[in-house]
Amino acid sequence: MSLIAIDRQRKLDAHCRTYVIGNGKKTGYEYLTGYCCYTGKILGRTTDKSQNSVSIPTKFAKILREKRSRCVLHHNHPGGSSLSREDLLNISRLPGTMFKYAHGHARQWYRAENLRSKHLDDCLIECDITFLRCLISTHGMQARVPAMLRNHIFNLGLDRAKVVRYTYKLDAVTERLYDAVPGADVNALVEAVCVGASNFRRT
Amino acid sequence: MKFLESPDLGDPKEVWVDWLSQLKTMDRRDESVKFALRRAEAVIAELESLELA
Repeated sequence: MSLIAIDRQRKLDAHCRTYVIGNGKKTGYEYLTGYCCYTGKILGRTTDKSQNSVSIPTKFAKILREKRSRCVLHHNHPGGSSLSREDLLNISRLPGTMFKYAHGHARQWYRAENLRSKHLDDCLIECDITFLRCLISTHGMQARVPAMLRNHIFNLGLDRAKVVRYTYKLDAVTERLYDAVPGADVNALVEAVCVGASNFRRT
Repeated sequence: MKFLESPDLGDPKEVWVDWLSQLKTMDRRDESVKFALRRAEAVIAELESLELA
């Protein structure tokens, strides 16, 4: 079976983005939708009416658990932050997920590609610890690195360590915020994640 | 299975402790909740060790 054409995928991406951002802006809740890259069909649309979580309906999850599936998921983060550790872990547990997007309401987006890494849960926790040590132990870093950018910087580290493939597009405000963070802090945090991933691989 | 958003790394320990207690009220059979619980416990333990250091 072949994948649908790129143009069709782009249209579906735009449709999903409009759904999650449009509804998210109206209510402040997280929404989830996605589509199958073989059939071009929308898998479903859902919300838990919560600002920081959304469940995957059983029917939806059944398709995503299939290794042969190729699906793209879109959800929104009302706070504008990047993909969380739980988001990343879920795509590794749902091997039929090819890409997962988190959309901020200012049209920034973050995307992780599923590399089907084994034991991603242990790896993420190891990286969390090294990231946290760096953030707290480096004088003044907590004040210099805004909370809403920390997932983004963490994910840059995971991409550098080849744990996930991570792409993104920041909006103008987030980009200014990011540019204001000293490069040395970003490098130190990215390096801390790489150290965590390397520690995990050694164990 | 849920897509959860835990507190940010660097948030005070109290925020993580509060998050941990929220997680304990959720369905612990859910894989995402199980992971979030493990993660919150690891972060709290690390924050405590950094407090002592």
